[in-house]
Amino acid sequence: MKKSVPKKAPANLTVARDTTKHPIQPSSIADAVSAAISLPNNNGNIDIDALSIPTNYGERFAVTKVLSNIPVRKPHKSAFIRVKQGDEFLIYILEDKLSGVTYAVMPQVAQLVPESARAVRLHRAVDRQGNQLLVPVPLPGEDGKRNVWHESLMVCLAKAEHKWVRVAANLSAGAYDLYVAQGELGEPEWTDHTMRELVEIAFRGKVISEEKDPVIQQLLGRI
Amino acid sequence: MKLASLFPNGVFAVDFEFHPINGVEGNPPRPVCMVVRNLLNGHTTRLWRDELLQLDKAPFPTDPSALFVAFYASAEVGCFLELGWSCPTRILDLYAEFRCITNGTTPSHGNGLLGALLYFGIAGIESEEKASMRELILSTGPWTPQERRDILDYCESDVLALSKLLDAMLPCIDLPRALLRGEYMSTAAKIEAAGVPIDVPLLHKLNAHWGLIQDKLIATIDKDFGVFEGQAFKSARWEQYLIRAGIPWRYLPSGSLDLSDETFKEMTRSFPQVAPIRELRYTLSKMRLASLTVGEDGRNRCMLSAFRATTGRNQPSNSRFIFGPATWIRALIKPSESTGLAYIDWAQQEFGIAAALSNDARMMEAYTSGDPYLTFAIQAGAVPPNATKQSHKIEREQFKACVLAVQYGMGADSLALRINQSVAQARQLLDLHRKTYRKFWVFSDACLNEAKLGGRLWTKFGWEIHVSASTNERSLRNFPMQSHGSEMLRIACILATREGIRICAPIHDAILIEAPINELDTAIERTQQLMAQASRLVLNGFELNSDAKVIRSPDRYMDDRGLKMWNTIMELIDEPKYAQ
Repeated sequence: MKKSVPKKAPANLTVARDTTKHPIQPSSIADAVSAAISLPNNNGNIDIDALSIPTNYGERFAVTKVLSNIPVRKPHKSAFIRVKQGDEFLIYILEDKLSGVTYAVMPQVAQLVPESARAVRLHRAVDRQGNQLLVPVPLPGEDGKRNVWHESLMVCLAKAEHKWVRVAANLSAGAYDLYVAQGELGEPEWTDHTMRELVEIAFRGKVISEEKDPVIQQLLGRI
Repeated sequence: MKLASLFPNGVFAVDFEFHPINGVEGNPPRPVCMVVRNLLNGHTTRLWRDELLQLDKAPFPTDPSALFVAFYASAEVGCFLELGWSCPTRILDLYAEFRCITNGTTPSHGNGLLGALLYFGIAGIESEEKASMRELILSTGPWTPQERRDILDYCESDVLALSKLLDAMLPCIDLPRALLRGEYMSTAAKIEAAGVPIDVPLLHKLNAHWGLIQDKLIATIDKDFGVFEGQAFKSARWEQYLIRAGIPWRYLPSGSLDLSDETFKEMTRSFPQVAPIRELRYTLSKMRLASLTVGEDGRNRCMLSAFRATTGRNQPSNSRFIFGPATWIRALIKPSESTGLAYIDWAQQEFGIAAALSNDARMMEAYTSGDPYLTFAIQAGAVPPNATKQSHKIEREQFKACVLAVQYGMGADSLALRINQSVAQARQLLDLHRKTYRKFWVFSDACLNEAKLGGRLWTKFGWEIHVSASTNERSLRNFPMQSHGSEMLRIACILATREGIRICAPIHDAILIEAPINELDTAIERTQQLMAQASRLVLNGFELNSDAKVIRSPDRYMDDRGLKMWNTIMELIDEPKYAQ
């Protein structure tokens, strides 16, 4: 039983992929199809290599991680850190022990509260998780000397320029102990930020620039 | 650009009606009739079985100048093979394309032809009518003249539906890569036709004694555990066993033990002593030996269900396919006389894919070292550079668990359970992975961004997943690895089939091939070369290694995970144990 029934051909068998839904398609479907199906010397087989498309995930969206918070503090005693050589910044800071907030203080205001505001050198550091931090080390006093804590911290940070180190306070010795990682942990990855940009991020909304600032007024016993 | 200019010799919508030979599941298809319609000129040809048998080739061109259109084409190609016709070379399978277009979503009427028609707003044959026609065809005949006309009309209605569906789908079909998927459907038909050789006398013996075996199995295996009461698994007893054995187990939020097979499977990796209970539970609850579809020629055949999984992988029925979850049953695989089998799998495929797709140099270095787990431990600084598998066995196992945990998207809690260490230690391992393979993690984040912002991910050969708000983040991160693994397997199967290598089954990251014993080594070598080529095609030139497990007649296949269970069962039916 064989029946051949001529019927009307469908109106339009056109290859025109909806590129709004599928943006990765080649600009010329016809070329791609031809390339895939009619390459010479391939025994009529589809040339698989000619069919590959890029898997450039995320490129068109260019999502980047924004560095929005940088702590200003000594590294945690359990964290290994590295310090970036030459990335330093001189600044007055004021640590509010009650709130745990560290402020940047303009020099003219710092002079009003010399017991609280300290001139420090900030060192750029990063831990093993890639978290950035700024480590403050007080500048030497007028006599050019530092106390043992600060001196030992400087030694630790200098070592951290070349090695992954851990810094832990040793109360009985009155100084920081330095631990150097034994494994080859690889080099840290630094972001492209300049030191100034990092400082701006770290102290965003935490800059004391005038005497009437509530923090200064409180320290002066005026409120 | 019209299809006519790409395929000047015609675009043919084709449908066969068929049933398994002698109505026995596992036998190849017996074509009943075929209807073909040339969509370029509207000519329709209807052929009944006796007419088909008179032809030594298809009654339409099957060379690259013509396009063969079908819905689930491996069925049609299976009929071609049975008729001894040469197979079409350019296939557009609207099932595969419908899956690709809708993958990640749930079409309200399913993924069948009717579901696809309704998805595009096209009315099709009523599902009740379709079911009754299928029943009539599966009855294997003989059919009255009226029934024959009805069957041909039904077959033609599917061809007409197919042509309407093609019209609706064509604008969103990625034709070059659709043709590759079409070739895989043809390859799948050849694999299904080959089937897996089974030790049929032993299968019959197992079937005959199955009721008795189950009771004996419980008595034999449970004597080490004491967790069954009759045929019932008791969770309270299992909890007591876990306490006695010092095995930490996962609990559900409800407070009861998580007794899912997935958890058993995961725990088996860390605590192999629970494997027999997992196998026993599966064997008792889900496995029906009689469901295994073995043809009269002793070959296990079932539909591979290509492209059914979200990742694009095959998803054959667990109970019909010999490579279903019960691993002991795989020992029924036995090459026929004078032939051999080889189970060839890519080594650490997922790790290699992740390394290559992310272009993470350290990860690629770990892969090419041959022991990525130990190399990872060295790279992370956890063991010295001269560490070996023997000198740092425990560390290697932990780093291996960490790699697998990342692949499965496990958190620190699950990893801790798996390595039987503290959560802090597990967290540290996961941290080390992030630090050591930074570029991989940037890639992983980019996948997530692409999926969440762009709404889809795709493979190098165009398999897609469409993302909804509820799509699991873990699945999205893992999709590129799984789906490229799936592409790699399909391409390897295509390449091997093109060269005439007989593939019995594709299994996740492996291929089971068969050859006469004197040709087996050559076939294995060539298959491994083609698998390497497939990996290079998928991974921008990066090559994955493969391992071959060879089974020569009269030996049988054995999966180590099922060895104990198999030997126990063989003891129960007085058969010799499998020696290892």
